[in-house]
Amino acid sequence: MGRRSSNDSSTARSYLDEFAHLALVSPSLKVLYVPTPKAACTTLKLLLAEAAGSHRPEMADRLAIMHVSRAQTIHHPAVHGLNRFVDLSTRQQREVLGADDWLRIASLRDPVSRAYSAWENRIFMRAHRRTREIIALAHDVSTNGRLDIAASFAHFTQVLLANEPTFMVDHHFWPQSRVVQTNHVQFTSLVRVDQPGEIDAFARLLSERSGRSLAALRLNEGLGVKLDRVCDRATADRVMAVYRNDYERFGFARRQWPTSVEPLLLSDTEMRLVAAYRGAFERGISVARESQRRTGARYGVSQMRRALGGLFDRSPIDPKEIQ
Amino acid sequence: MSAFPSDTSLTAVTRKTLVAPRLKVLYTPTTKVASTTIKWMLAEAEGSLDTSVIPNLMAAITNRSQTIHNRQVSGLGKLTEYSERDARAMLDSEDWLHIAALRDPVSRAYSAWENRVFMRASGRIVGGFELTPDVLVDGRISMSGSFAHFADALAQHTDAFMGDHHFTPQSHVVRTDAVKYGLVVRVDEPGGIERIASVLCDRSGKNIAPQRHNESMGISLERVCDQHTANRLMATYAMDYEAFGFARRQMPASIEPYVLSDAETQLVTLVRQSVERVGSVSQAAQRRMSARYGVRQIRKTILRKVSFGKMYNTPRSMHW
Repeated sequence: MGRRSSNDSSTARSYLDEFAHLALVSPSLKVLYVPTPKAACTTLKLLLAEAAGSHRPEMADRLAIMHVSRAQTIHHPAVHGLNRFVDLSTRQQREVLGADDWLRIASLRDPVSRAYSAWENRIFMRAHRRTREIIALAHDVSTNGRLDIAASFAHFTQVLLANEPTFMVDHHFWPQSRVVQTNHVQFTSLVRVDQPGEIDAFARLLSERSGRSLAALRLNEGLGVKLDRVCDRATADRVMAVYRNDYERFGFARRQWPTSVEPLLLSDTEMRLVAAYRGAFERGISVARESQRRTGARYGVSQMRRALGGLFDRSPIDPKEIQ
Repeated sequence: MSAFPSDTSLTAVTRKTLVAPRLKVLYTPTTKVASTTIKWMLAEAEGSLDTSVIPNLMAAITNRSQTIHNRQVSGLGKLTEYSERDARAMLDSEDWLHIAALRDPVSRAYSAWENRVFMRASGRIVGGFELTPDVLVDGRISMSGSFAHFADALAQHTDAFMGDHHFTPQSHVVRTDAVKYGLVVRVDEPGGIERIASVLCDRSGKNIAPQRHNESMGISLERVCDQHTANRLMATYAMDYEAFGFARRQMPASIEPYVLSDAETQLVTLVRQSVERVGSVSQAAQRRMSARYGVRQIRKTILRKVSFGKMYNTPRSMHW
């Protein structure tokens, strides 16, 4: 009994630590928002930042960090401008978590469509930046020499099921029950982003609190593939097995899926566009990594030395040269 | 009136010429005329290729193969870096081979449009892409309509495009009026690039073969270019026809609109968003190269240490 209590307390501490780094706060609106990746968190974060008046889109041009699009830069603190829960004092944190006049909001989404969205964005479109391992595991699958979206997604679910811990290095694959723990935080609202009108209701709520007129933007960053076209029952079953806790905790309906789906093959033009996209993204990551390496006092000294040397040196190779 | 620019000074006519001293080869690259492929071959043959620096490049190059245009990667010199006497000696010597390449102007214009305008590769077109909006059909991009629109814009606002060397006439680069070239190939004719590869093999003793970089959308010109559009382009690049005697192409009088599918249109949007971010990240990265930035970095480090890590300590969040 004592051991269980100690385990419970350790689990709670571990969750609250993760939560504290993830949750965002707008003290002026009295809103706490816990962004669940791949559950409209870009749209919701943008709405909250606009409502709070902290959104600074112009900062996107100063970030040497690769995001898949300008819209995604909202995830950077310099752009959204919201406070992190972890940066509040203990007294403030208690107030945020307990006061009646605070809104504590999180978002949820059907786990299968969320898993598809995570796969499409992080793996197929290469937005995952931390390791190459999961992209190597969940490689493209071709049918008759053409990239097959349905088969690639099915393969992803197989390797996800077999290598769960490997994928959990990327929080886009975390179960929602890891992010939203209603037993530890009294959420006032859980927005089901895949239900009609829920995001708009969130926008209205923020509009009322902020006195600003807000509307949710469709960011349209996916491939536009209908899930029913690429997900059969076996694939969905694997996703449901991985995210079983989400079904238990949030009571998601277990959707019915076709027993088999036709291959969804990319055309030659589509394959070339995917290659162009991946090539550009890879270069963006490379530039960002190189840039992030260029910090610190030692680098500062080297830049000063280089500038000084540049006054006398007429080296033919300009490091900024493109062509 | 000459088809070539009036300036025949050494600097003007060899401004882009690259030097491979070990091979004794000069190469004057013309953009959108297989210059990526030829530079890779030349750098490999010369032994100056250094791919290890690619991860260190901060330029807004959106594809790895394009990094060859950075001279840290190719390791090739520029003729303008040599003294005029040395440069003239290289140009006049029988031992040195000066290579250039040409391409049908309409194909080249399509390639330049697809790469620089349609796919948004970084360029220097005045006014950005306002002159060349997408032509949409039911929300989907019409490649043929958009290309025709571009040809009109290029004809009407030629100067706005000429700041970007991907659109400059070939006669502005390959100066047969003022420079003697040992080898001028037509890259759009069978065996054209292979002739360069063969020469480089002979000179280097290495096995050099052209690589296909496959960066285009793979759409054949006949599907997107009708006679009216081709006429527009042939008029814009009239000096190239005069200078190099390109055959005037016959295109269909009218073509079916070539409209991308919803998925293709969406992918184009995604590619553009990604390319835009690469440009933005590159600019932000290049701002980190100055004495002022260096001073700020030193100041931040000192303040971080003095405040025992409280100042300028923003751990990377899970989301960015």
